[in-house]
Amino acid sequence: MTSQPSTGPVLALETVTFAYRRRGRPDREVLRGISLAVDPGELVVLLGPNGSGKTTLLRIAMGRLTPDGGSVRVDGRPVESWSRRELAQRVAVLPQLATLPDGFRVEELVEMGRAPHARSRFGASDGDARAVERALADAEATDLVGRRIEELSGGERQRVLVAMALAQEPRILLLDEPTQHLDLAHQVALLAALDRLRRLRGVTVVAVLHDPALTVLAEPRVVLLEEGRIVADGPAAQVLEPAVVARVFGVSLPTVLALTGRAGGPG
Amino acid sequence: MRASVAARPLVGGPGLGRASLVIGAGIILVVVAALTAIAVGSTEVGLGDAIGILAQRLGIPVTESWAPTAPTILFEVRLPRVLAGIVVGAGLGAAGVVFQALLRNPMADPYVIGAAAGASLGAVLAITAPIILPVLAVGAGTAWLGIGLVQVAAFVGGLGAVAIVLAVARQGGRSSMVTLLLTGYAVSSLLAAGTALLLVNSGRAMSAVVGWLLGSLGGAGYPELAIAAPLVIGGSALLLVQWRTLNLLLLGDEAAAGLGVDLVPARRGLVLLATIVTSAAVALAGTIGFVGLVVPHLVRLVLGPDHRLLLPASCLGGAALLVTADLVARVAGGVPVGVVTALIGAPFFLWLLHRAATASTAP
Amino acid sequence: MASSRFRFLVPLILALATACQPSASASPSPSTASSVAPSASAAAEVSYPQTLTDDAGRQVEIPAEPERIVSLAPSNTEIVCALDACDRLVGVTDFDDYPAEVADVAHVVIGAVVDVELVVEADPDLIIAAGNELTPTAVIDQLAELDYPVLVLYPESLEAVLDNVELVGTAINATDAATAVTGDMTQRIAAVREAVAGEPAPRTFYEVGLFEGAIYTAGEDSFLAGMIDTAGGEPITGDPLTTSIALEDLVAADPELILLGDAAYDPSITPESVAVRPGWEGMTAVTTGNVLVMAEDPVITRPGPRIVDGLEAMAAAIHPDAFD
Repeated sequence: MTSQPSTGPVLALETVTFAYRRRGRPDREVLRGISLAVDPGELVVLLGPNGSGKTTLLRIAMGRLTPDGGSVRVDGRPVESWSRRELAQRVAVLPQLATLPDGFRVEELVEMGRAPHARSRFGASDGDARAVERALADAEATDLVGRRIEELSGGERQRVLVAMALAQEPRILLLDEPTQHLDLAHQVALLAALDRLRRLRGVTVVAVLHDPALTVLAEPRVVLLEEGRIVADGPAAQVLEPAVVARVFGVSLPTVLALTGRAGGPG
Repeated sequence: MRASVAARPLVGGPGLGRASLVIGAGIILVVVAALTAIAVGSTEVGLGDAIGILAQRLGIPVTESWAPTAPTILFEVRLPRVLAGIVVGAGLGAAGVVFQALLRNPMADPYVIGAAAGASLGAVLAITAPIILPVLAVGAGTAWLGIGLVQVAAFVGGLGAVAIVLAVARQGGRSSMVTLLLTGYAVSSLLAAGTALLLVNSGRAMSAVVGWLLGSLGGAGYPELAIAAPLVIGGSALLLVQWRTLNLLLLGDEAAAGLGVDLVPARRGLVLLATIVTSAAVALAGTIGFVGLVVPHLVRLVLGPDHRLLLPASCLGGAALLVTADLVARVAGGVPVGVVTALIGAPFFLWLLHRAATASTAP
Repeated sequence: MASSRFRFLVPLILALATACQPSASASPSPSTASSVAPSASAAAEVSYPQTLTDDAGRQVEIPAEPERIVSLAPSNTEIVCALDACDRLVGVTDFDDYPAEVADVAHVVIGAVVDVELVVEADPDLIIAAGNELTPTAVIDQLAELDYPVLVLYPESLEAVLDNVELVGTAINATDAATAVTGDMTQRIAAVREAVAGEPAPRTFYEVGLFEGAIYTAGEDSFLAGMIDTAGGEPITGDPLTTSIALEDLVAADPELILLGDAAYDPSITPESVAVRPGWEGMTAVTTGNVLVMAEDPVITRPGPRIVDGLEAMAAAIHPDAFD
């Protein structure tokens, strides 16, 4: 089951198209020919206004949706050739609408992230325990151990979700709006943690963000989507030109940065 | 790392110590309930007689202090009833947990997607068919593998109804759990109407039909147990090892899929197993209510939602509750056991609702 | 118990069970042919083990002369006692009230629910059950599985009651007593037939009970309908399965005589109360004052030897002039 880390992109989309079928009305085209190659250890931020296809793109990358056209390769193989479990050993997802069931303790939930690696029908191995510890630390959630989910704030829950995804020890981490529910300090901390994860553990991170201002923090590669097409792709500083942001988001970047109280650039 | 001290013993879920403690306590509970149920009845025969008779059968010399009928009362009348209570209670407890997790609905019970309605229609058809169509009378008295036609019809009816629900729910496109729930409700209502129609036309079989619908452990003999018990216990065991999938399903479809659950086959397998368990339990004892609804909630309140413990504990809790309820039913002079479980279950359920309501309005 | 039943349904079910003793087509094996045969050589000693066919069509093997008999229905108790075997009874129902000797016998049927454990404790060597789900089939099966000989009685006609007496007589080696009882019954039935022969048969409605707005009476081709016929009336019958009759059908049938069987248990049911029931006031029986209380309902609906008392009472009610 141990896959050789293949050379070349760990996630590759080739002219992917996708449309939601609607009864009695024309199909709603969401992705109109997306080609995207993500190398191991990259931090990619998908940006774009609501309805630009970011979440659909993630769902296709994780194999939950089958594209109408084009191909998706994960770890060098077509995504549909992996079983669900094999895929889960490689790709972890932090979905937008994750619900955390009441009654569980933090460490019990994070341990669920070990599910795709579980060998025993009954319990967790020492390896699992170590992975859970590491994930809790990386997501800055170690201090939440022992607490029940229903006692946590929104931000604390989000950190638990991140820890759960990290416990999966994926090669690719897909995050859909991971900063929602987080206050500014934790937003910054999360992005810093993702960046650290990328550098220290070589995990490829693809995150959908709604707020372009946040991208100035971690110097990611930014992919800007608009109406199902990639309109810009490159380092944050290069992509987030005021003119582009103004056109795509309908507001000027200086306004955004001013509103979030950080007018300065990275560094 | 500072995490290592705190997290290490906690990882591994409930831990072997707590798990064995809980399971051990559950087993003791079931054994105590079973021994009490064996010891108590409308005759004087008691536990002492049971021990004496057992000792004698094992070749230990004991003075025969019991009535000559005592062995029959203990081993032919009470014991199969207690065993049926354990099997049916455990099965309903496990199936209840599974349906609540699958449908992510606290009101779900083993009967929610049609197993009970189908089994009832099957059983009532088998009871009344010889009356409505005398030609069928020939087949009604015959036993098949030592099992009455009624039991077979109930089992087949339960499986058939769920199969119909699943097929119809899938016709509507992607079979979401809400669709499944609503389809189950609609199909159950339809089948219940058929059952009611047969009931009013059942004439002299009315008391047999009503008795079956209320549920009873008294009709279960060893031949019935020999068929139903492996189905219920085997099915429950296969459900127990699915605890991880059930936990993941609580996280929602997207998260569960992201963690490697192949949603469609996983759900289908769980529904199939839970339906086999439910149908076998219903075929053995009729439609006994509330066990499958209340026991999982009770256990969840005490032990939390982790299915690694919730499932086996609900099996044991269901067994203990049903054996106890049947004992109460017997002592109360033949009150249907379903009435006793409802008498225990309904107030508990109201309390649960009250508790949930106050919890959500609290600051 | 498998016999656990809705307690409140018990009276109704008891009433229904007798009221709708159904037509022969519903029974796998009518008693008439099969059970009379052994009594052909009535005077002869019965030899054990013997195998009898009961009214449910079951083959019942009785290994030795029964000394400990459990009766699961009052009618069965009366048959046993009529055969001078009252002292062999070790278990009866708590509905049993005749003859007086049975008051001392242990009860194994409590509130119409058979307590299997009490039956086992009574240690019977013969159990006489009732068909028609009066003894639930599940209980009969359970007792049979415990290796007790269970004889199910299920008479479908007046004559079948005689057959039942003969069958029990054979089962418990009391054929002489059985012959004496049936001889007397046969004679009295013949006398009733003779008395009502040639008389005009009034349209007779026998009220078994009212329950939840439904009117229960004799089912079509039922035991009770046959009795009314034998007693010289023309029975107005209900549905053969449910034994109920719709009020408009009853009005259309226009009974000339109404017999209130339920009045035997409920003093509030009287000819006066019937007269003021909505829809009943125009019936011929009501306008002519031919609404009678049948205080003998217990023996009319109890298919034991005293059924002849019931028949005579019914005939006297239908044809008062013929029995002066």
